[in-house]
Amino acid sequence: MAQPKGRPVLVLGEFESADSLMVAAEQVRDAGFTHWDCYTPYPIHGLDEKMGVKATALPWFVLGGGLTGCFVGFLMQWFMNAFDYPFMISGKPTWSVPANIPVSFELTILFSAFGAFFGMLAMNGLPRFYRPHFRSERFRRATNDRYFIGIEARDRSFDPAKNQDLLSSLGASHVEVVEE
Amino acid sequence: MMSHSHVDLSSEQTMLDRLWPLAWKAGAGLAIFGVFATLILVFITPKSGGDAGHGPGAAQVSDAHGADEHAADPHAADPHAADPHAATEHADHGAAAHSGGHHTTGHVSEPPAGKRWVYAYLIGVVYFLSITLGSLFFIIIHHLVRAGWSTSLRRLAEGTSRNFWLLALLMIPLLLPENLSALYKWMHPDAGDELISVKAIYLNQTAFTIRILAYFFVWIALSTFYHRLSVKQDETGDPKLSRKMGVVTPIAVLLFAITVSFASFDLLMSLDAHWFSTIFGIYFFAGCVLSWHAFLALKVIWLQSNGRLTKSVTPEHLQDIGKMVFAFTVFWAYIGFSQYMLYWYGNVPEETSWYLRRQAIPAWGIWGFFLVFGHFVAPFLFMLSKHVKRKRTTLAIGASWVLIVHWCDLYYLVMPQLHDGQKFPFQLMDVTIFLTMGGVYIASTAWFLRGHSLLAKKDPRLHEALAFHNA
Repeated sequence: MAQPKGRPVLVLGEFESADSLMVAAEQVRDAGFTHWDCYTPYPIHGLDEKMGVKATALPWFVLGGGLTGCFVGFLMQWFMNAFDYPFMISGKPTWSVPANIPVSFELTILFSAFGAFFGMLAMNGLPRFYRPHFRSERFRRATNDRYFIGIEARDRSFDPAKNQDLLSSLGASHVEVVEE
Repeated sequence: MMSHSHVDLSSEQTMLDRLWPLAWKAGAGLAIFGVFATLILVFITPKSGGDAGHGPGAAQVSDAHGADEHAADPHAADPHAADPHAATEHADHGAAAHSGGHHTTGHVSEPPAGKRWVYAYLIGVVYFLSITLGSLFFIIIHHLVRAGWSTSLRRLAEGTSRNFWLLALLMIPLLLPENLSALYKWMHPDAGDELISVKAIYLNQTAFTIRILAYFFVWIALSTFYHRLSVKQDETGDPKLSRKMGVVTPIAVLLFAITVSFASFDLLMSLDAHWFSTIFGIYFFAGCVLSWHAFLALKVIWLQSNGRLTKSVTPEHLQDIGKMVFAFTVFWAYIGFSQYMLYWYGNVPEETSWYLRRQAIPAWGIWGFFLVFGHFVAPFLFMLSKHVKRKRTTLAIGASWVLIVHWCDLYYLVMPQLHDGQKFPFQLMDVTIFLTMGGVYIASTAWFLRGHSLLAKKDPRLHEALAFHNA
């Protein structure tokens, strides 16, 4: 670890197992932290609850996307077939619901997927090419065999010394402060 | 991951025990009520009307003249015939044609006096058959994909699938010649009806009876096999039994697909032997899986509120049952629309005749629109949320609704064949006969669930179900 050069922005605690992370996460949640996160090599069921993560608003993006797609599908077909260039095909009405359903259905799905994908990116603040975590050598193991809790500077209870003590007392095998 | 989900099942109540007489009595009570109500309805109905259709009018409709039937059919020649927006125009058309005495398509049966009940009976049998087929499908798919989550629910499906015995008994009256004749025009086709005579090698009483027997043989064999082995595993805990059940499954799923498709062709599609739809089997299958999961949801909720399976079945499982109900309302709509869309677009008389019969009078037109909204849009929106699927009350509401509209769906498949769709045939008897069978079915399901654990407690994959967590 390099010598402190600037303002501390992050306290990282390293845990050896998913179990010890779960226990620690519960305590960090109960200590009232709001801007903190867990970093694990794979998804851990039940961690959301231990961290007190609130239900995501993503489904509403999906619903909004779906409804928009459905509406756009009908509108587009009405505009093309009945308004802009009406054309009689095999005696069918120029605009009718049954003929419009397949396209509207597909657009509903497409826009729902857009809602899910871009909504997820936006809510996670992605893409983002840099985070202070990347300064830590040890943090690389978060994609391999270690579990991390990171408390960020924007948290009201952020205090490098106290936070480090807290994480150590919760079973972190190693704690460090990351500077700007 | 699994280590966080230790579930202690030792204190869980997994036997039906005192619930068995409760279910048995409730079912029997419903059945007795249904029988008495039906008998009362038969006695208070004047002999000339109601029960026998509409007397002389009915005879007139069935009195077809094979040669000019298509020429005289005004709908067949109408290019806008299948447009749903024209449903009301159609009704006028139909009524006018009918009063002219020439609107006879002739290839649907008109029940003779006193045989109207066979139609209601058919709907009842097919309704409970569809739930039972759904339960068999649940077991087969579970083994086919080596599912984990559904292990704690599988015994409930295995018990329900044993009801094929009951349904085989209920099928017997339908196989009697006079009742078959009341239902199916191919039993007594008009002279010169070529569209039926070319199918006579398939649609005749002997072949029909043999096929029905074959279907039930397959269904009873499969359901007995899976149930027996699974119960045996409760005692021995032998994991080889799971393997044995799995090995048979690829053949079972093929047999299931073939028998369900052909059973739906025979029982439902051949009500109009002139008409055909290659997607009909899948449409029926969608209803099977849908109604089964709705039935399963109610069964689980009932058991849990009586203190059974309170630990091995969690809100996670309820959510997944709800997902299946949700998914199959969508699948039902997808298949139903696929059939409608192609026939509407092609507008070929031999294909549209089935829908025209269902648009001939406003009542059937409204019924069709009700299915679109009641069988698809409403449950789709209601079951969309995760919270609705996880709560017992809301899931029970959704499942009950689905079970009601599934009956409406089968009613729509069967009943417009009466009076050639020119008269709305609803009678209270349609409900009371259905309730009778419902009562018998409830008692029978409880009969097959009693005596064994409600949980496949020594299944090697049970821990997966207990640790199951929706992401």
